[in-house]
Amino acid sequence: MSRRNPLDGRTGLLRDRWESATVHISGIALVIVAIGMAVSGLVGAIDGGSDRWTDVRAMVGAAAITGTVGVAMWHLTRVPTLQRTAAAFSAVAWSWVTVSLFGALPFLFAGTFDWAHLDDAIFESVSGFTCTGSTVILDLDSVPKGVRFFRQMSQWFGGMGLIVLAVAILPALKVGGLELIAAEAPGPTPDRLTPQVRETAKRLWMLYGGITLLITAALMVIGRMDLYDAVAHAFTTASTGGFSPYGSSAGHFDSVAVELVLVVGMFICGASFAWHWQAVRGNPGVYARSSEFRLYVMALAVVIGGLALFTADLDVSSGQRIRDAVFNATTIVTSTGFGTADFTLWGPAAQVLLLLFMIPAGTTGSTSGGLKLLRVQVAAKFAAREVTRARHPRAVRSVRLGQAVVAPDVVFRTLGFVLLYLTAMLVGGGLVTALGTDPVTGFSAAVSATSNIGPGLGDVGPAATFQELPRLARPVLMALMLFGRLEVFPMVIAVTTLAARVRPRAILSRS
Amino acid sequence: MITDTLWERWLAPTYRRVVFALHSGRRESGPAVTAGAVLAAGGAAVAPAAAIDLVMGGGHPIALGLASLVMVVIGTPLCLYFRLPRRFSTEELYGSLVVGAAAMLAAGAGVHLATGAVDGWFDALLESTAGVSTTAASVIDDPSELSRGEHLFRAMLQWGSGAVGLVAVVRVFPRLGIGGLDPGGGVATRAASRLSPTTGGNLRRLFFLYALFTAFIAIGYLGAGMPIFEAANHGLTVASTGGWSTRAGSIGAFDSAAIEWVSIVAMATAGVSLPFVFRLLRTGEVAILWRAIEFRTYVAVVLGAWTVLFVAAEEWSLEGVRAAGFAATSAASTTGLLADAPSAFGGTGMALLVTVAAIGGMAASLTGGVRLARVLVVVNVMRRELRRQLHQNSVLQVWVGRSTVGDEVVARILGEMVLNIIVAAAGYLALATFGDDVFEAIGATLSLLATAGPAYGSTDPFSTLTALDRAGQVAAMVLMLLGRVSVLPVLAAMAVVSKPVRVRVRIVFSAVFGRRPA
Repeated sequence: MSRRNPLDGRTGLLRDRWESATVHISGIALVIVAIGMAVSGLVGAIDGGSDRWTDVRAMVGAAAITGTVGVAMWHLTRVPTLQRTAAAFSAVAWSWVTVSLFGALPFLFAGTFDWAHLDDAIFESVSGFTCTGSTVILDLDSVPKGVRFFRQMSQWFGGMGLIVLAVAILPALKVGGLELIAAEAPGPTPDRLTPQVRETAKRLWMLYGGITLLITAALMVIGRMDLYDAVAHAFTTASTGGFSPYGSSAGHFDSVAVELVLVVGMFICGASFAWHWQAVRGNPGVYARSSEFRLYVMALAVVIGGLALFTADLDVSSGQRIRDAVFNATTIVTSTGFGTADFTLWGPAAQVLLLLFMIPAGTTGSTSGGLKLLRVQVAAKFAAREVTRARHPRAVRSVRLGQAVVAPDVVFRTLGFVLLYLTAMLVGGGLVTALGTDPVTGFSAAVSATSNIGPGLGDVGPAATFQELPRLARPVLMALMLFGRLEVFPMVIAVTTLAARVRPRAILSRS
Repeated sequence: MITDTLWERWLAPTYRRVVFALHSGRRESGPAVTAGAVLAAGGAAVAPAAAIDLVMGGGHPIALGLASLVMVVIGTPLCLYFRLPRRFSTEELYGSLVVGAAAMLAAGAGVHLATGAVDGWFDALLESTAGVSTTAASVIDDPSELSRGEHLFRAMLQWGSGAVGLVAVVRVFPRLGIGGLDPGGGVATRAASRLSPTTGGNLRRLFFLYALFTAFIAIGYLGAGMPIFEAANHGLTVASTGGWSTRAGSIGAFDSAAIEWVSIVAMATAGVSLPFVFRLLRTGEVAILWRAIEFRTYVAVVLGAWTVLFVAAEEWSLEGVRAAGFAATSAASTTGLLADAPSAFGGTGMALLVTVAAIGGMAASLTGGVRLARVLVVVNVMRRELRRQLHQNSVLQVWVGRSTVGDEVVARILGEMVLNIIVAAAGYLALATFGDDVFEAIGATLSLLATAGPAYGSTDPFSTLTALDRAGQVAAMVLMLLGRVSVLPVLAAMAVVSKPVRVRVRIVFSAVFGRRPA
């Protein structure tokens, strides 16, 4: 959408601005990221080691470039008065892509990756802004502190965009049946809370910021972390991203208290922010009323129980086994991806259980990735209805979610999404495998990337990095991360819209 | 035509007599007549096996003869005393399905046990399940040690199961609307007119085609140099997409290029919808090949898999082309015959074979898997939902080729797909719990659910069942049966059969707790 509106009545600079929601929103996002880069540079200057000035130069340089481009994009464009759905999808998708591209600059300027490995820098950035948590950095502990802080912050920014996207924008655009959120738990959706997405966003960000502060405080007080580590881990817990400034992830601290705080933090952030908002407003019963929350708790209990059972033959104490089961179950079910144990060394049943629960991941309206449990619930209830209808072919039965009846078109939309999502995973896994990995590594990497988990199985487990994969496989995974993060439809529509726009122009230019 | 004369003079009167007998008993009972017919037919099929062992010497002629006699003695009175109801209720249809399957399993297990081909009742039941579900998996390490009679019985078991599959596709599933299949060859070829005015006519013609196809395969094998008995055996198991072989190394044991090429053609044809083949042969209209989108997709899947496997194997020779073609057609038709180990195609090849087997062949063929017609509908549902995302108030139909598919059929197909996904997930977990490796568990689950058979994820492709412990083998049995019959009818049948139990549980529950359970 970049066309001039000659009938625009506004005067001065505003009148001459290009109408483009995509460029405008990308510009705003870049400015926010530039501020984050500057803050990270400051953290590097205060807390950095011997390479602090490399760190500061890298962060300031990246902030300057990102900020300048962002301000230019923001001020030279404006959002059209009338928005088409396709334009809204494109704006969401391309702003994430733009931010991810500029987010690679600090890694390049600090020398974490040389320019010949630009793709690796972009991979790290995409993994950050999509809250995935997969890494290609081999020696994370040697990376300057400011860059590591920015890496953590990129996930927090990703989460910030996500909660508004998940709670307000995508349900309004009826992506994959997400309008069911309102039916399940009336929360801060645009039609329920305020008529303005902006107001909704502000309230959600306040909640998000508050939860981040609480996790930081808990990590400092209960987990006895220093401020840098506490903030860094709070960022990636609140966003269910899973990056850690240490190569051994959360296992670096080897502390029950730290793991306990992280488990509680991940559990909270894997649940819908709409419920949290209702609870904060004095309606804590919303959790018990929501069938999706009950399923979330049940799924977590099943995975914890399953892992404890399937790891019974490991040579560790029962306490350690249960501790590992609780932490790893929570980190996978919420799509966070912190690591305390290398679960690729566990038995096949434990690995398959984790792989299966990577797919649905957390709940709708949360920062977690994956299909979302609500959709799994709708699909399962639909299948159960079809079994009943096979016995009673003339029966008229509807799919129910709690007390609400789900309309047939919403059911079809949800199933369409589920199948598209699984197809993307399958195709991505096939491509990664074809590029030279074993099937378990290839398909688990695709599942992990699409569900924004972080680690996979095989060669990309919690103790390894994605450098193990062939270089060409990483762009495939980047695309899957974006597909999964943006709930598939925005990305597909953005790409097809772009292709549709490019094609006639190419034909015209040839003629 | 000779075939018409054969039909009019001999087959049609026999068929009419059998149908009359099935409708002339004293009491109406679909399940009893089904069980009786299955046992009587099974007994009749075992008789030639006993005769072969008797004539050729060795083997187990007495055991096979007794098994045949017992089945006929139990089955015939059931057929004579009971009669098929004039109108089947849905519950009776499901009941018949369950009882018929149970009778087949019991008969198959009984014969395996009687001949001592396997050790113990559990292995007999497992082997019987593989036969009934036309899965090329086995607990018998070396089939070449079995007698000719046993081989013939095993081949007849798979062939008979294929014939029952025809009845299900033509008469049972369309009546129940299972998974959106219809007798014209599935939703994709719905435009194709029916083969005859009645479903009975459809069934007769398809049976005839099935027998003819079996004979052609056997003749093909014979021409390629396979001994006559083994050619007949492989004809029976390939036509039914069963895949059991007379030798330990499956088709690879013959080490013959000609036999492998015959197998490739036979397996590729077995994946094509039978009504579609019938129309083609009858009208001679080759253009229908190109008009049917399901057929085009099938050809694309087979050729695509063939090409990728050839590239993946990195064996740039005619042998490489043949090996890739064999593996591709074996997986696409879910026959499960083997010439080379799937591990020869590397990780990519194994993953592709599993995927192709999971998809299966055309809707009204005898293959397993989810079937291409359903996959086409699912792809078009995804396309429609993408378009509806942009134009949310638009009314869009799901199109497959030049036909629209109603929402009712779409719902049934999506229901079947979702149930398949749920069953596959449960299968992965079950086989991983009782197995050694993640990919082996996933490969075996999909292979069994698609009723293909080989262990695609393992270095030993014949270890699908033997690598599992007892609990894993129970899971494997469930997967094979679900794959053969389709998940939806099995679950619906289970719900029907378990209804009396559920009613009693409710009564006890309300008596104890004073209220109805939710």
